[in-house]
Amino acid sequence: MTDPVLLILASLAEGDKHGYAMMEDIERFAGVRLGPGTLYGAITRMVERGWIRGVDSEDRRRPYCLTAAGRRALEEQTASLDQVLRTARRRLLRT
Amino acid sequence: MRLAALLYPRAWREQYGEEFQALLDDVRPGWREWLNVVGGALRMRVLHASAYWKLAAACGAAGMLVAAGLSWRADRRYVSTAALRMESPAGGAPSLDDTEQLADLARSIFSQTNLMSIITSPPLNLYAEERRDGVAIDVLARRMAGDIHVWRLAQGGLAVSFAYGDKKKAHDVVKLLTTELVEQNSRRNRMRMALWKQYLPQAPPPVLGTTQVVEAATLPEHPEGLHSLPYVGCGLAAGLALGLLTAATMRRPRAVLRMAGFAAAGAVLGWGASFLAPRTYTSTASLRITRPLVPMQTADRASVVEEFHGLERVVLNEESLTAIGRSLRIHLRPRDVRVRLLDPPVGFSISSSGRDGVVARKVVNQVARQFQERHAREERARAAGDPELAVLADRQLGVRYEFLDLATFPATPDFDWRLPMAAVGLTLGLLGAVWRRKPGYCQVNRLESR
Repeated sequence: MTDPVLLILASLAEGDKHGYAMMEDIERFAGVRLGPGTLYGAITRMVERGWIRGVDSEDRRRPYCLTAAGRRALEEQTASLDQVLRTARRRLLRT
Repeated sequence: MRLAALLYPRAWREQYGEEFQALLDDVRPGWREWLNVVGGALRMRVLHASAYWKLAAACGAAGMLVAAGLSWRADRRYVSTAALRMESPAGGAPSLDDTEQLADLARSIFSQTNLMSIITSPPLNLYAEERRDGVAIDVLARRMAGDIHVWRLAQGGLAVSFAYGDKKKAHDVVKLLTTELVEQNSRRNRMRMALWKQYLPQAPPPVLGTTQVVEAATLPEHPEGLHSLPYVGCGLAAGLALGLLTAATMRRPRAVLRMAGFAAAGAVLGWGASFLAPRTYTSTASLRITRPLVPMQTADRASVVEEFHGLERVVLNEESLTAIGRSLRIHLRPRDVRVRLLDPPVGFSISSSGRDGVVARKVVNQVARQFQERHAREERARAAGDPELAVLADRQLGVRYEFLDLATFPATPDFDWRLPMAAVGLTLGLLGAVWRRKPGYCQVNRLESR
């Protein structure tokens, strides 16, 4: 699973995080190290879609949080992935 | 790394620049991160609306540079020049008549038939590559005629130049052309004197000028001014098109693929349909109006032109053309044959177009023969009652219509429909793709591309 959008959504589902915190978290739970360009490319697209938004902060490192639309998108994607995984697992057991 | 971050669009940097910089400070960047940032910046620029044009402009500039480079390699032509003039035995500056005679002489030297023999002559072996590629010799002769320039000099006489990719060959061709001009004039003078002595021994001989080479063929050291502008223009257009296409493909890959499919299908259909389009072939011949005994003077030309127009009305009338058409078993209309007086009026050209090149050539030959026969008949009629003139008319020593260029056999059609029809098909395909677009397609794609 290397889709940066899904990885960021999964990371922010735990709570607000800034860019570097997201990178560290994603590396920890998915074993994928997102590059700065890839991370901010995905963040830009997700902000435009209204899935995440920046939280006001005094720090240079701006944290991001999931919006309601982002949560729905994550739920839809995980449901769809869940369906795929269950099917794959069932078929593997049959063979 | 800071410099790489500057590659992002300004609007993006204003919104995310500071936090992005903070992230770069936290990450210990290596070459992999650097490449990632550069890649991200380029992608952001392409997705950014104004970047669409920037990429096209960058590709256009690159195309222009490549085209300029290609023009430097492809378009190097050397021009050799020589100057000649007709000198009368009485001396003095050459008159207008002398220059006209020289121009008349040059026309026969630069005739298509003569140029074809120059192209294939072993020491010159011109346009060898094109001939190897199967380009017809008459097409190359026309091209060579376009590369030869003749102009009148202010001080009297003519200048001749030839442009070619090989400077030695350019020089050799001009040298050959000037030598032929001098020799042809000398041969013509000898023939005139011999005819004069034979048929008009009592009359004082005509004053005949000799052709002199005033300035020998130059060996050009540098190529002529490069014609880079058309190359650069094409490069710019191709680069811009490529840039726009690349940007559009990156933004909306599915829409571009769909349009490309429609365009390709349209182009193939157009190309196929072009084979059904009518093809016409044109054959052309040129005839000189000349006088073997004495050179034609400018003052004589008016009556010659008047007689030519009289003949034109007779030869090209409905009845005469119907007779020619009947002999060739075709329906020949007046608009199928065109006759044009040369400028200066030292001769005229006859051309005919039709679906069949062989038939067009036969038509031209028949019309030319009609002109020759009817003119000879009129010459004889004029000489009736004067035994001396009658002898000259019988031997065609008065004004004579003689072939300068035999009727060409058109190997290629006048217009090749393949490319224009393919272009029309391509355009219709593109329009079809736009018309068939689903509602809201652009919006959906825009979201997907994000």
